[in-house]
Amino acid sequence: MKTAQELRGGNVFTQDGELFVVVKGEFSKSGRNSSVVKLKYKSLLGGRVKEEVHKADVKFDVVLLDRKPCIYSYFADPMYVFMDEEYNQFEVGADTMGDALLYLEEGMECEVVLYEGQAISVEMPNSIIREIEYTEPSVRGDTVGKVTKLARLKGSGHEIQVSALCQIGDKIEIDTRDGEFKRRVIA
Amino acid sequence: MTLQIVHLYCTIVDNYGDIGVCWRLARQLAHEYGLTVHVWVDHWVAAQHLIRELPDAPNPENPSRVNGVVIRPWSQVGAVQDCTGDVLIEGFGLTLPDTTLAQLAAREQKPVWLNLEYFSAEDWVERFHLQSGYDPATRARRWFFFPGVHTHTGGLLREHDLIAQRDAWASSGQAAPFLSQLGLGVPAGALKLSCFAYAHAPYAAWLDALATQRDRPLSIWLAGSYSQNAFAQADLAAYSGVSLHNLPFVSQPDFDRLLWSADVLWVRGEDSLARALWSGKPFVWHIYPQAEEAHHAKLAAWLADYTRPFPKPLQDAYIALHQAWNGITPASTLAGAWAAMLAHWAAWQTHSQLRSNQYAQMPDLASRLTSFIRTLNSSTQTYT
Repeated sequence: MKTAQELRGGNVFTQDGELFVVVKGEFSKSGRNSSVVKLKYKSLLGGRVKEEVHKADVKFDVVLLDRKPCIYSYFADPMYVFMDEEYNQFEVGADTMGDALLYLEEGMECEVVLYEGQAISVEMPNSIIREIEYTEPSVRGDTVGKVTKLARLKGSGHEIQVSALCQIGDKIEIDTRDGEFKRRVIA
Repeated sequence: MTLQIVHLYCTIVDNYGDIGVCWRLARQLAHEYGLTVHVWVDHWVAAQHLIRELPDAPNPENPSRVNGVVIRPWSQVGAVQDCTGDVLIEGFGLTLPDTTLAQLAAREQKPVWLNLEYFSAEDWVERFHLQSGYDPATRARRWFFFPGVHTHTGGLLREHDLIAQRDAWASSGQAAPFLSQLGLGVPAGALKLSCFAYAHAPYAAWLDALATQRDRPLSIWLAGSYSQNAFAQADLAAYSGVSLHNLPFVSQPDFDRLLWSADVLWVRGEDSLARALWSGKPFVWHIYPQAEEAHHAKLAAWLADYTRPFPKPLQDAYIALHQAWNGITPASTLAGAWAAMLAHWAAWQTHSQLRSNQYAQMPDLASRLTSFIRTLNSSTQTYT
C-alpha cells in the first residue's frame, strides 16, 4: 500500500479490480495537519483517464509489477523507445511517462515497468545528474538564508530552483522523487 | 433524495478555530437554509467553552440543541440510527469515526460527502476546489470544498445580514455600553486596539512599537490566553497613557461587536481573519504556523489578493507589518513597519472599508456550499 502522497508517475494501483497507472500527482498542504493530492491516472485496460483529489494519507493498493533495467533510446512519435541489455525494445506512451519527461536524455538509465509483458511506464533512479544549460548570474551579497534561482536543464529544457552559487555548465544532482535540487556536483 | 439533514464532524485540535468555523457554518445552514444540522464534536468541554449553552455532559437520551443545531459527542456515534444524513461534512481533513464510515459504506444511496478544507488564497486552490476522489472502502465519492477569495473557490463565511448589522452598530451608540459591560474603560480619545494572536507573536517588540509611536492614549484589549499571558508581567511604567485589558471569552456575535467597536484589530486564524475583514476595520493577521513554513506562502497569497487595489506605499507598509508580526522578518522591524502604517492611517482605514465591501459582493461560503450540493444532488455523479 502507498499513500496518495507517496504515489509517483508510473506507479500502478488497483481499484475495484481495475488497474490504473499514475500519470501525474500534485501535492499541496491545505492546512495545519492536512494535505491533499491531485492525481491523474489512466486505466490500463480501457485507457480511461481520471483526475481526482484525495487526502494525502489515503491508501492505494499498489501493484508490484515486473521491472526491466533499460536505457532511453529514441523518440518515435508518440512513443518513447527504451532498450534493455539484450536489445529488446519497449515503447512507452508520453501520457504515462510522468516526470521522466522532465529529465529524459538519450542513454538515460531507468526501469521500464511491465504489465503482462507490455511496457506501461518508466521509473527513474531516485537521483540523477544533469547539466545546467542556462541560469542568471549570481548576485553578490545574496547570501542570507536559503537563496535559490531558476536554472534550465540541458536536453529537456526543464527549469528548477537551484542554489544561487550554481553557474551555466555546472552539473547538479536532482532528487527525482520531489524534483528538487540536491547539490552541485564537483567534477 | 432530499437535502435536509446535514452531519458535520469537527475535531478540536488545539485552539477554537475548527469548532469556531464549524459552529458558525452549522448555525448559518440551520437559520438561513432551514436545514437540520447535527454537529459532532470530539472534545465536549472545549466545545462548551465556545457554545456556552451546552450542558456539562452530553445526554445520550436527549441530544443538546442550541440555536436550532443538534450537538453530539463523537462517543455517541453508533447510538443513533444514522450518522451520515443527506450531507456528510468532514471538518478540516479529519478522519471520520469508524462507525460513520461503516454506515456510509452500507448505504446504497450515498450522501453528498464533503471535506471542508482550510482557507487559502493560493492559486492551487482553484485547481482542487470541488474536485473529488473515489473511496473504494465506502464506495463513495468525497468532494473537496476549499474556502477562498478567488472566483472558483468556496468563499468565506458571512451571514446574510452581517454587513447590515455591522453598519447599524456603527450608528447605534451601543459600543460604549457594550465595552463597559466587558469591563473596558476606554479613556476619551484613545486609540482602541484588540489583540488576538498565537503564543509566538513578538509581543514585547509590538507593545514597544505601539506605545512609543502614538499621539493619543492607547487602550489595548487582549483576547485569548496567549495574548493575555504574554503581558501578565508587563511593566507599563515606561508607557504612560497605555492601558492593557484582558477580555473575557465572548460569544461569536459579541466577538463581532468587539471588532466593530475597536479601531485596529490584530486577529489570528482563519475564522477571525474573515470577521476582521467583514468589520471593515484596519486589521493585521497572525496566521497559524505550519510545518516547513508552509504558512509563509499562504500569508503572501492572502496579502497579494487583499492589498491588490492598495496604493503602493500602503501596500508595501502593510506587507512589511505582516512579515514582522508573523516572524518572517525580525521583530526589530516592527517599529518601522508600524510607523509606516501610521503614516498611511487615513488610507488604511479607507481601504479596509472598501476591501470589506468589495469581498462582501462575492457569494458567501454557505451559499456556495448549498448551491454545489444541490447541483450534485440533481445529478447522478455523486454516486459513481
